[in-house]
Amino acid sequence: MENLEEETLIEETDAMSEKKKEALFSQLFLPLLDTAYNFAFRLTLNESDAQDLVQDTFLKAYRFSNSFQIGTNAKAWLFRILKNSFINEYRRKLKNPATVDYQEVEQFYNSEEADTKMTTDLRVEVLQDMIGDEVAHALNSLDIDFRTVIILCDIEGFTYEEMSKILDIPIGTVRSRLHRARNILKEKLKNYAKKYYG
Amino acid sequence: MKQFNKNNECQNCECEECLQMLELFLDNEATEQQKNQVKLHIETCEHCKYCYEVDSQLKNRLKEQISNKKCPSEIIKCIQSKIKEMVLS
Repeated sequence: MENLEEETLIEETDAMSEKKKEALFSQLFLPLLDTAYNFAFRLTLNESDAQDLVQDTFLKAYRFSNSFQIGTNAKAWLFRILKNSFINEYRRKLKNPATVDYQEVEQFYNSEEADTKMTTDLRVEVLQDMIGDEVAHALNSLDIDFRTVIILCDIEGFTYEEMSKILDIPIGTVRSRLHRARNILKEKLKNYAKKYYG
Repeated sequence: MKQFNKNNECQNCECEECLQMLELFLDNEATEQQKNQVKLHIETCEHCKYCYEVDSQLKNRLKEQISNKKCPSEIIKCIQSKIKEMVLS
């Protein structure tokens, strides 16, 4: 009798967890579809790859939603899956993979020598006058790891701690990578302004 | 008296400290003490105030220009139907 009760209990828990999984998914993750798609597009720079990536991410999120701890940040959890899927499956498929050795780039920009060279004198009026999508273009031309930190911080508003979890890097690296990324971005915008606005 | 090097960077210690905290400040990662320090400093230092304005403007422009992509509705339907399949199987 006791065994029977236990079995029924287990079955009920399983049924509940499947229902719970679906509820969790539609309440927490589905509302994040647009923001996840935006992130996927900014990573892949291609509509069709972004659609595949976002589908892949949401199916994984559903499959693994048991491992999501309720009360923690759903968006950060989802973005971590998206970023890992991108690295594992899409990065190597991209038509124009980055030819720059990122490690080398980061080492250079992390060196003290770079800091004095990279000080930018981008003017605030230049930014105000840019009416087209210059900023988006400049961002898209950044190396993928530099682009990612700017998207996560400036567009999605993640904290350094959340970014550190999404990207699996220490907070110090988040900070330095963000700093270099912004300096390169400002340099690009300054050159762009020189070229087109004189 | 502020000192500037050949790149027009301020050499003042206070400025150096302020510029290091500027990103923390704009990213809302600064402590209360750091926030006050930055606020006080940029009130009196034109150079750092200008750096603050550039960085803050860049952050705004990024937000305006980048966060505008919407997921196509057929993708939402596709995800939902694939999940239904997963539940049934």
